[in-house]
Amino acid sequence: MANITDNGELIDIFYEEAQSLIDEMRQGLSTLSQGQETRDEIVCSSNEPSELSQVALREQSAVLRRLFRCAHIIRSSSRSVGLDGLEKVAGALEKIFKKAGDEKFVMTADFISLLSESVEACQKLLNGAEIVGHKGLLDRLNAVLQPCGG
Amino acid sequence: MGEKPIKVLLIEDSVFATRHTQKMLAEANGSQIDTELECADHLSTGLKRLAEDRIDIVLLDLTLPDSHDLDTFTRVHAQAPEMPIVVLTGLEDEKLAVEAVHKGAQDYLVKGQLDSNLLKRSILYAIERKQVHEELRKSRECLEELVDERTAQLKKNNEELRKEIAERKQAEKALRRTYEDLEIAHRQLEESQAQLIQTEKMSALGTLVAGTAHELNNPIMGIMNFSAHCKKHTSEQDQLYTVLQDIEHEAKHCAEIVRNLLTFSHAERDDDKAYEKESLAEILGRVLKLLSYRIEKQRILVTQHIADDTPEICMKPNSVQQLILNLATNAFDALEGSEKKEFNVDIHREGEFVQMTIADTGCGIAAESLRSIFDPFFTTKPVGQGTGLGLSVSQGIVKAHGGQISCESEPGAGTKLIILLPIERSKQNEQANTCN
Repeated sequence: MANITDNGELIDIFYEEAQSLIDEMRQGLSTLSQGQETRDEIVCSSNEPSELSQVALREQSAVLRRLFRCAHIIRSSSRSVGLDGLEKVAGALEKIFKKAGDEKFVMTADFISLLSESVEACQKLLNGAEIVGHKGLLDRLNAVLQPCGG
Repeated sequence: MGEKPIKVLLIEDSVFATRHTQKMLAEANGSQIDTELECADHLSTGLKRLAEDRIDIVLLDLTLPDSHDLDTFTRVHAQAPEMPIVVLTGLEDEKLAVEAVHKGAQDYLVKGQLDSNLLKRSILYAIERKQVHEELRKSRECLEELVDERTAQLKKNNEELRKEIAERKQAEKALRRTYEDLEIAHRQLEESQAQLIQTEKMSALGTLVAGTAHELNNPIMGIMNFSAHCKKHTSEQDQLYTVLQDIEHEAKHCAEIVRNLLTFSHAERDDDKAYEKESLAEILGRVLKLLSYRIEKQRILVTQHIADDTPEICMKPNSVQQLILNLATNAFDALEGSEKKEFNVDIHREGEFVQMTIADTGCGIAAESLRSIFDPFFTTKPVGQGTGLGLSVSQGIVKAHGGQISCESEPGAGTKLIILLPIERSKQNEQANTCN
């Protein structure tokens, strides 16, 4: 079997798809942040999910599922093409999107900004750049995955 | 591999993963397996495709735009339970993939760790495993059917065996019955043989008696003549006169005994072919005289009712005497050991017949024996005491006279024999007689 990185066409498809998925994530995050701005600023741990209207909750959950799917595809594809850094960040995002959906997180500006930062990191990694403080970003993402983190 | 390429349906929403899988399968083509890949990027389109046409195997990504997690697998498996499914998954989802395998997926492959060989092998094994699984399931069904069939057959055989056993038992019972009948017949035959021997003896004795009686007749006549002659020439006052009287008397007695013997001997009977008019009452009296010794010995109360207007009838007196003697002897035998010992004879006219009824208060005859009493050699008396010919001969005598004989009996109370004899002989009987 030929090495996958030698296969120009497949690599092109990877970049093309990954790029569109990153764009989709940006869009999704922007939707989340709009929803957040219409509400008072709330701290995650001290708020009841019941304060969100059922409609808003359903919308948010659908956006998180789309975001999850994007991160999921990027994560598994980047593994195939050997982009370890991108795989790690996308993997962390995948988990966070799932957790946020399952546990009905209340979106805060800080939380959304962390997610945006991560998506931009994905962009940079896709572009082939090394990220300074890449380890620190992963630590912060993993902290969210701890029970009642963020 | 087979002539037809394996039809693979890939349900996967990532363009890259789809293309990647396509390339890996293409690389494998031409080596050992040929595959034809079809793709669906939503579960709904995948399910739709599955329903349409032949697909050999499904490669399934669990995370799709319209479905996620185990639910994705469950829905495909529910629609096509016999379809081999290989789950495509990321490292993080391995737990989920293992669960899918538990629920019936053939295998799972981790994306990114995949190469064409692994994919090819997985597809082949999945199809094979599923086939084996299906065959196993089918043969199990087959086996169950077979077991059911055999069970039914066994049940049937069992039933037949049981029936056969019952039949054999029945046959055995019938055989035993036949054997018992044979034993009875054998015993009867032995008895008949003994009786025949007895009859033969009696017949020989009869001949002997007849001969002896004939021989004795002449000397007795001599004695009687000589004693009469001597008496004529002796004075009545003479002491010898009474002695001569005694001689004459005793000689007469001897003559009477001889005459009686001759009457009952066959030789005597054979000589006598003539029918003559005779009174039944008179013959009865003769028989009772002959049997007086028994009547006295057994203390039997004898009564006779003879109607005054009873006519004489046309008969062979010796035969009729034997008839009455037989019946009376039977009655006396029956009275042996009986508390009430009565013997009654009634004689009266009954139209063109004279009816004679001989009744006793003896032991009677059992119902099952009653129908056989006129059969030759039938007897209930101990061997040596009866020939079984008495009633048979009696019936013969009555029939020869154109009469009828019947019997009524009540065990423990007594027996009644009713004889009807015609007063005049019919032409038919006369002819029969001349033929005699």
